[in-house]
Amino acid sequence: MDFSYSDVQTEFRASLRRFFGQRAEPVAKTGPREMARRWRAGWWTELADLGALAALLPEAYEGMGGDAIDAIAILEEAGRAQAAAPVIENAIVAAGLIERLGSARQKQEWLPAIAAGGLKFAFADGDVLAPAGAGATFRLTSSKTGNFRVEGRQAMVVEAPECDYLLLLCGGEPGRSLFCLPRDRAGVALRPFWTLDDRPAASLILDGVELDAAERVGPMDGAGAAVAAVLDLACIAQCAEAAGLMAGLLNLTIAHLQTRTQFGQPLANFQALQHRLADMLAAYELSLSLTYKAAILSRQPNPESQAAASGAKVQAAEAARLIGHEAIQMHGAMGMSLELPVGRAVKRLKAMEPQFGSAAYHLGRYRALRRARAA
Amino acid sequence: MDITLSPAECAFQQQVDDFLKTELKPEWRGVSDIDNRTQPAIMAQWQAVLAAKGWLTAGWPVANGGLGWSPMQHHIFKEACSKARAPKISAMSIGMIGPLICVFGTPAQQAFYLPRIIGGADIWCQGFSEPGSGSDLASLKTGARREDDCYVVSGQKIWTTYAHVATQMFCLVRTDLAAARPQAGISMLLIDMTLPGITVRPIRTIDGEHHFNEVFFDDVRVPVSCLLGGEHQGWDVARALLGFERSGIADVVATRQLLNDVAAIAAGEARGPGSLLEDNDFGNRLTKLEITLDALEIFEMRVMEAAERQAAKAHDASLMKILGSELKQKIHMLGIEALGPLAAAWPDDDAPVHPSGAGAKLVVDALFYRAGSIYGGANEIQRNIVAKSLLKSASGI
Repeated sequence: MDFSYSDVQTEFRASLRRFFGQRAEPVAKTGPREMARRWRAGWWTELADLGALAALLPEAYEGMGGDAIDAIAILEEAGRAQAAAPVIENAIVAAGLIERLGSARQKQEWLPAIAAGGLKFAFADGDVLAPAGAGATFRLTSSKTGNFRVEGRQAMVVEAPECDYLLLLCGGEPGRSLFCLPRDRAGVALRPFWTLDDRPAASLILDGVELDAAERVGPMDGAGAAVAAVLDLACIAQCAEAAGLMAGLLNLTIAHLQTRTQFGQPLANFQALQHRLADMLAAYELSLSLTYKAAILSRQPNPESQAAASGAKVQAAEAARLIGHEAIQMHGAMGMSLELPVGRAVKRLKAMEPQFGSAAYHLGRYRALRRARAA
Repeated sequence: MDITLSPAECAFQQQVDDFLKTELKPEWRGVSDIDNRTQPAIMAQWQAVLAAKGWLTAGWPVANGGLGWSPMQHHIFKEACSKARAPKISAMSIGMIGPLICVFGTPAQQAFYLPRIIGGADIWCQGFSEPGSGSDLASLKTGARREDDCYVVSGQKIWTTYAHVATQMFCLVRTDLAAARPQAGISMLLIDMTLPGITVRPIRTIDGEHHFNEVFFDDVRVPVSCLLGGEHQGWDVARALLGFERSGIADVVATRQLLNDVAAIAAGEARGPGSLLEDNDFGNRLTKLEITLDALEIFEMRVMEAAERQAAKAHDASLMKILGSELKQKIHMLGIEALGPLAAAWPDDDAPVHPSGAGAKLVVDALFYRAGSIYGGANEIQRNIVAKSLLKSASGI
């Protein structure tokens, strides 16, 4: 039994904390969208130089061969510093999909480039985890030449405006197939917008897009299991980022209660606030606990590890709501200010909620997995 | 990070399981807290078996028969006992006063009391709360004035669990009325419950049972040799209880058994085309509590594992107490909901029995377990402790 980070991971976390911390300061001056641009330009390669994007990749492709524990170590720190870098989208989702499904040539072409921060990806999953009926799966048809055409749309693809390559999850029954194509392919239309937590996103419209057979990543109709495993890993990493954000909110709230004076005394003296602060910590510890469990179990994917990932998401979403809303409330009107980090963290937590499967989706999946085990 | 037990811990767990399989008699399994209070004989028999093995006092200082187990070993032992539905070990005798006498007792006190605790000759109760002193324990008024070689005790204790079966009480009394701080004038006395002047009156609780008592002291002469720790040092003696090992506070195994009982009740209740368990609203609410229980289970392991590294935080025990008690109360409420109209039947012999068989017991347990967020330091006090720990921190979490 061990819930601590290894010495190497602890050292890595410390250097990440310094790195993220040095870049957290100017957000009020520069504005969050300018910060988002920097995280996708110069700071992105600096983050790669630090090794954060290579951590999970196999050593054969210039990675460090790490696992989910390394992932949560990185994302916890990113969350604490509110660093809006697309680590999960690239170092976990794109890298994970290509590693699990790609040919040797594809891996050689893309994985070292992800590790070095040279290429960026976005994953258009066709709303695979959206509630039934709401999904808009990309329809794939074969052309006479042995190549493919794809049609369809997805209302929101995070990171699409900033990516070099789009990973497209196509098809439905009998299975799903993954393709990787340059974003500037003819027929790919993006309508860019910003998310509420100031990340680049776009509506994606695929109008008769031609796909070469060589652009398929993995077997035809056979991407489902790898996609599910990678989405679980992304979900766990995001729970870790949420834990970091929540720790940050708790620390901001503690500092505010210690320093803000009303009725001639610090807010920290008021029991009505003390008890709510205690409940925030309880929610944080519960959520962090399931994140650790899910990360540990994800080393050997099975129904138990899947249930753990889903449980982590449900608990994180509940904790994020409680901690986020209480942090705003306890900051009073200051909590409403666009300038303060409190509101930014809360918006980031809100924007995460539907990503990689909503809390409702994961609650249903946890239930189904538990039922299957009991039967 | 790793969630599995070490080979040595696995071997220990196997040893405990094997012991329980051979030594825990079937008729002792499932004996509840209330059974302990009405028929303490079963608890005594079980404790004798544990004492013979040396495990009854595993948590005591090594010099007094403790085994020097790691926090994780205590956790493994408690979980295994809980899974086997063994009777609970007396918290007052074995968990509290035994170790206190080990730490603060004179050689004569240790020689007299400890064998009687281990052998089951004494059952102890705790005389802390008073009519005017609940959470504000330091305001207690039961007085003990020195006369020759005795303290003469007068006053009243209340909510005293076990007083009706106990032979001894560890009791906080005020020995110095002039002390600058209320905490400074308190002493701890070990009081023989058969002494003249002690009157025990039952308090019936909302579950219809007899857990609690009022205890009146009318000029009770307690020998000075029954003072535990120094005179006026009783507050520090009592505070030492907070430092004793904390495994099992969250009561995860028992709560999972309760959750499974509630699921079984719901699975037997028809709702539309399926059962109540399959009903989306009820099923989702129960599943959320199951996920929270999963989280609490890991949190408890994290605390135990941190304790091994001397890295546990002072407020962790308070968090476990808050989370464990309130989660169990929420599961009880879903259980009552699942029972439907029969939940409102008072469980006398002539009341209709719920098909699951679990009904009546669940309701009275739920009623009594409202006390879970009050006893052992009310959850409001625990929240004070957590918040104060956070608010005095300069570096945050």
